Amino acid sequence: MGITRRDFLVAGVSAAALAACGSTAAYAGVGTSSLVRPVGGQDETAFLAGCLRCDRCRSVCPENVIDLAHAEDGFFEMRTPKMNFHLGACTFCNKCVDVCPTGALQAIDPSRDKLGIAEIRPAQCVAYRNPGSCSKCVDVCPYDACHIQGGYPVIDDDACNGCGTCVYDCPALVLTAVDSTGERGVEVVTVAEHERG
Amino acid sequence: MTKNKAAATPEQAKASAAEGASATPAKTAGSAQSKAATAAKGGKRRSTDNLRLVCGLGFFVVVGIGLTFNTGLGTTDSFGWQTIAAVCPVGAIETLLAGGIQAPVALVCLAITVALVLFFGRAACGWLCPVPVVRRVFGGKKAVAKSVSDSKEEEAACDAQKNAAVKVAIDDWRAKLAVDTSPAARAQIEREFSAIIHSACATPHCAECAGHTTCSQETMRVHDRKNRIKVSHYDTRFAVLIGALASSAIAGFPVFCLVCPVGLTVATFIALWRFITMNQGTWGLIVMPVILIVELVVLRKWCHRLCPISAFFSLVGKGNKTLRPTVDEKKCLRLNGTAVCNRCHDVCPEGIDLHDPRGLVAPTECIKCAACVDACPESCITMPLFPKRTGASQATTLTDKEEQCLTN
Repeated sequence: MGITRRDFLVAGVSAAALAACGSTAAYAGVGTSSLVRPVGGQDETAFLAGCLRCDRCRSVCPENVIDLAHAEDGFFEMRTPKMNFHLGACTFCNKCVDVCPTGALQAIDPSRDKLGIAEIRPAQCVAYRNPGSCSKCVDVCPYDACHIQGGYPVIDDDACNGCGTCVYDCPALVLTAVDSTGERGVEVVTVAEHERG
Repeated sequence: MTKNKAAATPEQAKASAAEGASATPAKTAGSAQSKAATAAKGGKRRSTDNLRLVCGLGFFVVVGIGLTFNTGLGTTDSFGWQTIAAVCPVGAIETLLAGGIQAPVALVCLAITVALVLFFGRAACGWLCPVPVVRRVFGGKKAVAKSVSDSKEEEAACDAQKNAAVKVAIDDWRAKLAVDTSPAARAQIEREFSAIIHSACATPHCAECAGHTTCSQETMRVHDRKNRIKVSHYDTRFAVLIGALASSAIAGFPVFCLVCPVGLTVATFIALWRFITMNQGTWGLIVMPVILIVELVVLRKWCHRLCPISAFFSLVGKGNKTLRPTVDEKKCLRLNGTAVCNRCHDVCPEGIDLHDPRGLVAPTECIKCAACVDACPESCITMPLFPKRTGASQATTLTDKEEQCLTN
């Protein structure tokens, strides 16, 4: 019925290319990245299966905390939403959940579920250079998950839900010309990565 | 949703405008009216084409507004207001197959999309998709002509020439009609006109047709059918669609979305925007355009041979009955036997032959670009909201005599 050799070749090559792309991704370990995802996207495998990379969650976020994963974050994760707490902090307004057309993001209970867990980075933290000099993260934390112990800030893993307010307000490393990948005095990591240590 | 309205409005306006134009009794009109009709024709050809470009670029404006004001209207991949949205059907099915769906929201969004495709057919290909816009803006007219299907390539080359010739003939014809309106003179002028139109428009379908000044409607249709190669309506795009869905099901995430030129175009735009406004540099600014260039320049027949989204639209679009271009058989030079006019077929980017709905390309492949409406020298093509019953049967069936000719 008029299917030429060329058509057959085009069909075969493109199907093979897609299959190769899919299997490469599977071997490269899709679903094991350590990106902090927006609300309800914490199960990385389920999230990647559902995410269309349509940009609606990034677009709707009133806090500008949702950023798009770059090529540097992994080719297979490129364009998926990730939390960038250098740009804002999550208020759990659930607008991203509302606009997600595929249900990749789900509503969560911020008093019980976590986006991630904050970790102090002693190398950057101002208080670690001069104990007692800075308590910004303690002052701003909306969930009372950050305390000063002996002049140094300490995170309460159970109380912290990874909203990122401490990261956003941390004065360390904020004066950079380019939105750098450099770390501030406190950073939010995924629960899995936190447990790995 | 909002964006789709914007897409629908010019389209509907176009259809109704076309209806209005065709309703004007051109042949019986006075000189003032016919002049107006000619002027409208000259301007109209540009306007639909430009309207489509504006509509396509408009989507980037919407994305830009979303980037600035956090509207959440979305991109071509998914757009709507709050929870109610249309979603890229291929992506949505991919996510369903990849098994990541806990909420029925994807099914609801998919249903909204299918409803839109049933109503507008493949209009998204012609009015929303950023790929033709990118081609047009960066590739110029040549790239657009190149992107049309194989059989149309040669015809597209002499298209401009024909356009000019037909336009001159029409102007001449209108001018003459304005001077002398007696029935005898009109008949004579119309004969001359059809001869001119014929010589300008006729792309002889076969050696048999080539020598004749005027071919009868029957002969032409017989020749058409004789020389037509039967091709399956399920082309390579469907293989890519199946490949995309299968690989997503196996790999567990929407694989095609990684390389989708629609998504990559919008993502490149967003990345550029954030690079300019937020100083956010990324390798994606190089990686994404490179993939796009490979897809759109190296594989330049992407839309017609590879795009699985277009395949999905074609599949669902088979149920589309609204806004289909319809030929007024009494006025059509070809169907009333006046001339071997092939303008609408020539300009159609999909290669649809409106004279023969059973032809090489199904009428449901229409992307609602209205190029045929603009090109028709008789203004006899309209895009009515609902199909009209009258006269539709004639073009779909061959007469006994024609069938006999075919079998010989």
